[in-house]
Amino acid sequence: MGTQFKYYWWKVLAGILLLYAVVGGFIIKISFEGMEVAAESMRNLFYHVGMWFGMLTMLITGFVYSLRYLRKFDELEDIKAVEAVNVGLMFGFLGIFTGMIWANFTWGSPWVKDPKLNGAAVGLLIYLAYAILRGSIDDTHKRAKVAAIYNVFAFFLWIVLVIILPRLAGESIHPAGGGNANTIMPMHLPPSMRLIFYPAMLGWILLGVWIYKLRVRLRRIKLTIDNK
Amino acid sequence: MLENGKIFVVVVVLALILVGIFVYLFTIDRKVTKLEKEVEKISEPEK
Repeated sequence: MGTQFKYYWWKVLAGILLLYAVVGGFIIKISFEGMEVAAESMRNLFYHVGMWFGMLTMLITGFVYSLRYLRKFDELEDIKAVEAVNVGLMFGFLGIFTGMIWANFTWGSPWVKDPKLNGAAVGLLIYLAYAILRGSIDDTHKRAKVAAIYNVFAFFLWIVLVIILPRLAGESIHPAGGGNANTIMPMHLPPSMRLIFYPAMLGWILLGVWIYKLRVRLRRIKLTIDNK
Repeated sequence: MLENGKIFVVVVVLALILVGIFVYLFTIDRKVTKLEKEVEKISEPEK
């Protein structure tokens, strides 16, 4: 961490935003027509959805660094890619499990037959396979190269599975499924909820970036020690 | 839920947990910074 405020202000911002999200998210009044099935639990929007925003941000980061690795074959780019995916996986699991809790109380079962849920599950598996693939190759350069190529494919597959296919299916019960009567887009939320929602998402994303950076810095330290 | 004011007890507890986690993250961050500086010191004279 830079000792100057200009280097770590965004970490403070992450804390303030999440604090705001927790306090604000609990004390605002929830009134949302058509969502009586969730009622007060609509507050989960500020937390459960944040996991997916965090995951997507990390997956994009990983995708970009994998592409960069394939251009320059710099080991540090590979480290950044894998750590981004690791943090993304953490968000993904938290997203799935918080979703299961919410689903259990809303739809009566932790898992319902739904393209959005199944897509998210398969999407997680794809990235778990990335971790397994890395573990199975001993040669550092070969591992980095194969993993980077796989990660580029994994990213597009994830986008298709989690964002595009549920929309094409058109009958998702999940509010983020898209394209039907169940769908709730952030901009359709009442203003009082949007006022919490957007800052909360930014807060989760920044928290993810922070954890990601910590992991990369630790790996960098290890790299310096190993190269000695 | 909001009527009897008890929700604020939960909000305060959650807020404290969150502040605690962030303070903890900052201390970890500081430790990593220290480690980075140490490693820098060790690795530089050899170049």
